[in-house]
This record gives sequence, C-alpha cells and structure tokens, in this order.
Amino acid sequence: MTLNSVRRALVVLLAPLMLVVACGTGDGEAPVKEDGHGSHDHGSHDHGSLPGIVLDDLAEPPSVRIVVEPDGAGGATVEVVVDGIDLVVADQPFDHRPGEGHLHVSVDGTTVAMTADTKIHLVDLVDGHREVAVSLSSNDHRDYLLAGSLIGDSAMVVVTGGLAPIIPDHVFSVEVFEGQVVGGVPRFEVSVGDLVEIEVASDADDEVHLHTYDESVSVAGGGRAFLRVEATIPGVFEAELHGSGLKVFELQVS
Amino acid sequence: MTGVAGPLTEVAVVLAHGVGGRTDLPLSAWQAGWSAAVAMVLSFAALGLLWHRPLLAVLADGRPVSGIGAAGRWAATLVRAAVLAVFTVVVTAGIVGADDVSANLSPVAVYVAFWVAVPVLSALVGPFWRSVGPWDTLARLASRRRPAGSAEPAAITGGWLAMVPVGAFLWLELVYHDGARPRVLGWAGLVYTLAVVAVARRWGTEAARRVEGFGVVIDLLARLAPVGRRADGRWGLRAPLVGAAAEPLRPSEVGLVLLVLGGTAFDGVSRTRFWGNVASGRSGWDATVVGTAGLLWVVVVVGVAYHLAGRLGDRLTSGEEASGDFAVRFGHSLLPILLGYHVAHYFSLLVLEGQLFRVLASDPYGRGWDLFGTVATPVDWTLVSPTTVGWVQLGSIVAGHLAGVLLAHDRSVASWRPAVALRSQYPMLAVMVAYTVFGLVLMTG
Repeated sequence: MTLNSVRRALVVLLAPLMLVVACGTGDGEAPVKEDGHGSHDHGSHDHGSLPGIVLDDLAEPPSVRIVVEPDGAGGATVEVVVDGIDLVVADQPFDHRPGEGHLHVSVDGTTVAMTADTKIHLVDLVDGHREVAVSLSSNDHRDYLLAGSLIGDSAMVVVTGGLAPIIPDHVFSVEVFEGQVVGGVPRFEVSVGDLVEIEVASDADDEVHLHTYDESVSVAGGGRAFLRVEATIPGVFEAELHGSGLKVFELQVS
Repeated sequence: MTGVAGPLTEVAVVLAHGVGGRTDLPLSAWQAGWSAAVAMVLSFAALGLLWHRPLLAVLADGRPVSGIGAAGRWAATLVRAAVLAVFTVVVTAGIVGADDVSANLSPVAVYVAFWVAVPVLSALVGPFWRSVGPWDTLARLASRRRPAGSAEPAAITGGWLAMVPVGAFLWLELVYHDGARPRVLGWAGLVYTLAVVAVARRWGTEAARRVEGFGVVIDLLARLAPVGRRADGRWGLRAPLVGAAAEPLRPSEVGLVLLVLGGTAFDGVSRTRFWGNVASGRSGWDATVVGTAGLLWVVVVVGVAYHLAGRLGDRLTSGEEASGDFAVRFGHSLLPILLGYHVAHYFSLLVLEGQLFRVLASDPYGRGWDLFGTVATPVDWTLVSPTTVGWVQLGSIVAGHLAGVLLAHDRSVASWRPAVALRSQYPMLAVMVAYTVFGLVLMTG
C-alpha cells in the first residue's frame, strides 16, 4: 500500500467527523458543507507552519468563550462569545486586517470549520466524548496569539445518537510533562493492517509527528490529541514533538 | 484551508537522526541465535580443517583485463564530470536550498547515496570512487604540478588525519541533533572540500588522498570487489574477497576501519530499547551530549577489543619469525565484517529511503521545480518485506564474519607454520565472534 492509499483510507475513516453545518442566527438551518473537506483531513499541518500574530501589546485583547451542548441527534451546538474583534467571512484574497478575524472550529484536534458565525451546529459526530475547540484566526488564516497561546476556548461534550465510534484495534496513550515522557518512551507494538489510536496528552502546546507515516496532530497545552493511523508500513517508527524534537513514542508494526 | 501541504510534503519524509525515523523490525531471538551458532561452528571448523598453505594472496591480483584503454578513460572523465556536477548541486542545495530536511536533496544524497550506496557499490564492482569522486577531481585540479618542497606533516603521511573527517561525519550522522539539516551538511561539505583542496595545493594530490578519509574507507571496501588494480597497474578480474589478501592495511587504515565499525555498531546500539531508556526524555544538545558519550564508548569498546586480541596474538606468536604487528597483519579481515555490518544496518535505508533521491533530485533546492517529473512519485515503503530485510541482515553479518575468518586464516598460514598459525587464530576468532554476536544482539532490538 502506498502512502496515498493510507491517506485515502483515513479520509474515509474520518470523513464523518468533518461534515459540518454552520447555521445562521436562528432562522432555519441550512446545512452547508465545508468546502474541500478532503484536504484538511489531519487538521494540523495547516497552521503549524505559519507564524501567528501576537496580540500581547493590545490593551484589550480579544477573547473567545464557548458553550457546547449536545443536540441528542449526533450533533452539538456551539455558542461562541467573542469580544474585541470583528468576525468577518474570510473570502479571497485573505488580506490580514487588524481587528478582523474569523473562527477555526475543531473536533478532537481535527479542524472542521472556518466561520464568522457565533452559532455553529456540528452534525454527524461520533458518539462519546468529543472535544470541541474554537480559536481566533486572522483573515489570512494565521492564528492570533496571546502570551504564546491561541486565543480560544475548548469544551468537552458527550455526543449521543451519532455515528458509531470507529473502534481501533489498539488504543495507546502517552503523556508529556515538563519536557519528559511520563514513564519513559514507550514502544507500541501492532500488526500490519491494524487501526491504531494513540492519545497524546501534553502540558505544553506542540505537534506530534509520526515519521514515515508522516502523520501529525497538534496538541494544546493541558489538552490531549489523538493520532490515528492505519498501520500499513512495517518497521519501527519514531514519533517526536515537532517543537523540541523530543521522542514521544515508537510504533512497531510487524 | 490554507493549502500549505503541497504534493511534496505528501511524499517527503523527515530524516531525523541522520538516517530517518524509520528503523527495521527487530529480529527474533531464534533467528539471531541460530545465525550466531552457525557462524561459530563454521569458524571453529575453519581453524583446523581449512587449507594449510596460503591460497588467497596469489589470487588477489586477478587476470589482467585489456582493451579498456582510451574508451575507459573517456568514460571515467565523463562520469567524473557528472559526479562533480551532482556534488556541486548537493553542496549548494545544502547551503542555499530550502532548509527543510524533507524538501532538500542534500540529506538523502549524503546519508543514503554517498554513505551507503557508494561503499556498497565499490565493494561489489571495484575501486571506481577513486577515479570519479569529487574530492579527488578537485584535489587534482588544485595540486600544483610540482608540489612545494616542504614535506607533509607526519599525521598526513601516516594517514591518521583521515580519521578526523570520518569521525566528524559519524558524529553528525549518528549523534548531532541537527545532523540532517541541509545547512549543516552544506557548510560541513564546503569546509571539508576547501580543506582537501588546501592540502592538495600545499602538499600535492597524494597527501590530499590520504587526508580524504571517505575515499580511504571506500577504497578499502573496494578491495573486496572482483575488479581491482593489479600490482603492475593494469585492471584485473578476480574472485570476490581475495583482493583483500593482497597487501596488509596500514595501521591508520585499521584504525579507520575500526572507527567506522564502531560507528555502525553505535547506530545499532542507539536503536535498542536499552539506549532508548538511556536517551529517554532528552532532546537538543542534551541528547547530543549523551549520544557523543555513547558513540565514543562503543567505538572505544570495538577498538580496544581488537587491540587486545592483537596484543594477545603478539604474545602467542612471540619468538616466531613473523612476530609483532599482529593487529595490523590481520586488519584486512575486518573489511568483510565492516561491509556486513554496513549492509545489515543500511540495506533497507538504501532501498526505501533511497527512493527519495529520485523524488528530491527533481527539486534539489526545494524551490518547487520538477526537473525530471518525479517530484510526486510516491515512495513504496513496502518494496521489501521485513522478512527479506531480516534475512539480508542475518546473511550479511554472518557472511562478513565467515569471510573475515577465511582471510585471517589464510594470512596466518602464510605467516607461520600450521601449529603456530592455529594458535595465533584464537584471539582473532574470539574478537570476530564477539563482533558478530554483538552485531546480532543489536539486531534483536
């Protein structure tokens, strides 16, 4: 199997997470599918490489708070309270203008929507605990930063009535605390063809990268992220933090 | 979304730690155990049962090959120019290209094409690197027709200076945390090239060759090839391996072989869980410091083991005609062992990560070019199965071991009468068995 077919498999696996409806303010629900959902399947490459816009100098920097409620039918509503910035639809040509921005919405670390609406309806989520996160982005899709962190908020929601969870063959977890892997660097052993989910918890913002599979996922400080891979390539692969280069775990596929 | 991920990032892979974040599956203990047992039994059988008169040295010259002449020289010149062009691209890509391991040709070119493909190819086909390598070309261009009168320093004459670039290279590849960065490789390559050129200018081409450690190592491995230079200067065809029996290595060459062997052994150590625990939680310079200590430690262990065997051999053969210099006398038997280690560790790197060379050659500077239309070629990570890789690893280590035993045996019966020759082989055999078992244990992760 080639890398591309792995990607295709993952897109198929994760696609249900990415169907999103952004609703207007109350008057009817017109489901709008996000454009190009296949291209942001892993949700992490997109921003990591662009420098953020630091707003530390502002006297009253913008703020974001969210309230997330399950809708009981496989979705969740997200109410966003934004202060100190104008939300505008980021249309072409994406010119950055101070005081303007839009919201990036992610579920379990995967970006699912970019919107200027403050009421968002997420649909077709997978049953169980989902972490919804919303952060502020400039018109040219750079993150706004305050004291080195994203300006945003996140909340957990228990989804019911949604899609049956994809059950991985193996679930592993690893925690990074103060620049160290708690309990030493683990080696996770799986078989070729297994679906593997690795939960990475970290006390600092970073990005976890699995070599050769070339999969990355962002993890927010104090939060957790899920790296899901279909183990198609045999060998031993290192995963490390993008920022510090710290080895976080090894995946052994045999 | 922002569409930062282009076609290149889809196929490209980050080569961290010099040679990549992918390693081979550990071998099972039974495979390694059986291989070690076979190697051991055959070695001890070799002690008593093999020939009692030297056979290999007379074969080393080989049958002369004629008719290469002018056409061969023209071909060599063309290849020389092509290699110099590729070399220039690799160094300049390192210095001015995208400073991104996965978008720049230099890391793959240096760590896979240069350090794996060239030595292995030399051992298979012959000492071609000496005739086409870029440093040799530049040294020839730079050296004055008549070298300056001053004699070169003893460190150059003895060949010991060659350990400096090779040692530095191993450190960059295996230890330094930023060793795969194009900038690091580009500048290191430029500085080294200038140093070689300066030596050539001051003391002539021969001195430059002695300093150019990579060429020395590659040439030594080429002694195992079925093609070689005869004593009379003509090309000769011979059986593989026997070329190593021709002339003993110089002391500095033995040191160089042990250095590379130690480096490869450390590469194995650094892939084990044991080392994983030692290095756990370290990154940046912290990891580099620990890695440097580890590299020195393994190189010293490998070198001291050989040195002790040499001392013991000297003692066992003292009073005989050809006594002394035991370690140097048998240095050539390390060559197949080095080749075996090299193939065992880097075979999968060559066939898997090596595919990246084709991808990156199309856009060596990371500027979005597609010179050969291969920039989007996917890498087939399943081109060789782990089973194949495993057997190649076992086969090359055991074959290298056995070839080393044969070479040492032949040299011993050439040096002494059978009883003394037999006695002399105990320490050599002990150190070879130690290397092989050590190498196999490393393969079990």
